[in-house]
Amino acid sequence: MSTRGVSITLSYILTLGITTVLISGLIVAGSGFVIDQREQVIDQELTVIGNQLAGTVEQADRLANASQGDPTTLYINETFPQQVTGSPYTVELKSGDPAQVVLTSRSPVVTIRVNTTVETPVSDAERASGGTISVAWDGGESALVIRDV
Amino acid sequence: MADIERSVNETETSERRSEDPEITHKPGSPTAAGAADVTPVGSREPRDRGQLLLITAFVLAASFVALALVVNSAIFTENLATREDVPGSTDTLTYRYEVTQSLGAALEYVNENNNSDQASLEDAAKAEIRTISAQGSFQQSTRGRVVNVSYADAEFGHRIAQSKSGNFSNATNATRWQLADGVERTRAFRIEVTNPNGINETGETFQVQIDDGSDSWELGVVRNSSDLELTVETSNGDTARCRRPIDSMMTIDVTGASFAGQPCHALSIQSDGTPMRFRTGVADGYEIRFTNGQDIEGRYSLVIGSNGSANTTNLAEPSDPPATDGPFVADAIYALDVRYRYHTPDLGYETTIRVAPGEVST
Repeated sequence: MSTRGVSITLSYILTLGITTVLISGLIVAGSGFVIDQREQVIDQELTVIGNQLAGTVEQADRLANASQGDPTTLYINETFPQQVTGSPYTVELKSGDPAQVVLTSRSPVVTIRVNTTVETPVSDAERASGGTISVAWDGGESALVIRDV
Repeated sequence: MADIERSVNETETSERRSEDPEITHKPGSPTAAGAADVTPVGSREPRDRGQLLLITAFVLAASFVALALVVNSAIFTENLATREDVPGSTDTLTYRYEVTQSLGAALEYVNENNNSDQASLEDAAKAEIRTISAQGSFQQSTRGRVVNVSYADAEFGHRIAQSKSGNFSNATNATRWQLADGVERTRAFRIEVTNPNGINETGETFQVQIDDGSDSWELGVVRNSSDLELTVETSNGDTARCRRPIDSMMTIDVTGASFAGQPCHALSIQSDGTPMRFRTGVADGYEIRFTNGQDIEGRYSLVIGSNGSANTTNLAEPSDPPATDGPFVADAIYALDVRYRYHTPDLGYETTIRVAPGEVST
């Protein structure tokens, strides 16, 4: 008989052990691949959203500038996905030289910074979290802000 | 029917089997479960060991679904990347510029035709603004935009002009005279020369002098054989020139820095390359003077702001028909402030536009 010298228990343990190792390897590799892809896609998506927003901020800057930095009302709304690959995200406008649009996804945490060239001041007093985002002129701050609609 | 009969037969067979202890039970094994212990190992494998594979398959299936969602997001990103700007946002400033240009032309018309007093100027300007707003908003509404232009404020000043061709002397034929004093802003200063061939090459040539008492800015017009030459001398002693071949009529746009229809660098750049414009280096509250007005013939027009008074002894009041061919002064709107509103579904822009055509930016 082929099972001579091998107990049934040992045979079970060997078979189960080897199968478990192989299968868990497959699962770990598979889910790792999915997680990697997700992070990459979030990175790309935030970059695209950031660039679109940076363009909108520059457009709002031109409008504000044409009014000698004192428009009565100024807003440009743009609709983006509520979540990036299943993760909520926030958008902030950071003043500096150059000013930056900073996008951060919550889980996994991916942060993207996109430079934007503006002549009017920008303020980080407000922030937006996906969906329809408004680039607006804040009369009180005398600066451009990003906020939720 | 045949299928049903067969299944009925099978059920009967299995019942018969379970009733037969010799087939399913070994002696001494009272339950069906106990029977598994003695079944050969090989025959039990497919039934029991599949669990692990099944769970793995489920986990992998779930991760593939997740991967599909991730790939879907990636595709949507491409879609997002190729989006245009917010619709209408680029036209906001284009239309604003159109409005400014139209109102500029309307303002010139109003200043020339409705200049009896400030109230009639204001009424005429308001009417023009209403017309431009109505026409523009109708046109823009067909493209899904709401546009409105309305009157906000006006800065009154004076327009000094000579609208019939003649030499540049004052109302009493003096050739060295003051047009205005205490001026802070001048716009749309244009001179039309109708006798370019009669202008002196040297000697007593025509000059526009802008002087604040200590510094001056001077524009001279001289003939250089078959060319007409502009000479601009700033307070720092710099002199710049530009010349154009003589034509029957030549226009000098003093504030717009053009001569005979082309840009004139003498009016916009000093000889060392630094930018310059009308009255560079002269402080606010300057006087505008003409010297040697007998050497030039033609027409001119300029508008001065509220801070500045025209010299009424040198200038006549306008009347209809004109009492004099000489220079006159009339009330004028120096600048108009209008409220500009532009709305699309995604964009809102409201601001005040200042309309002062031909104004030199300071």
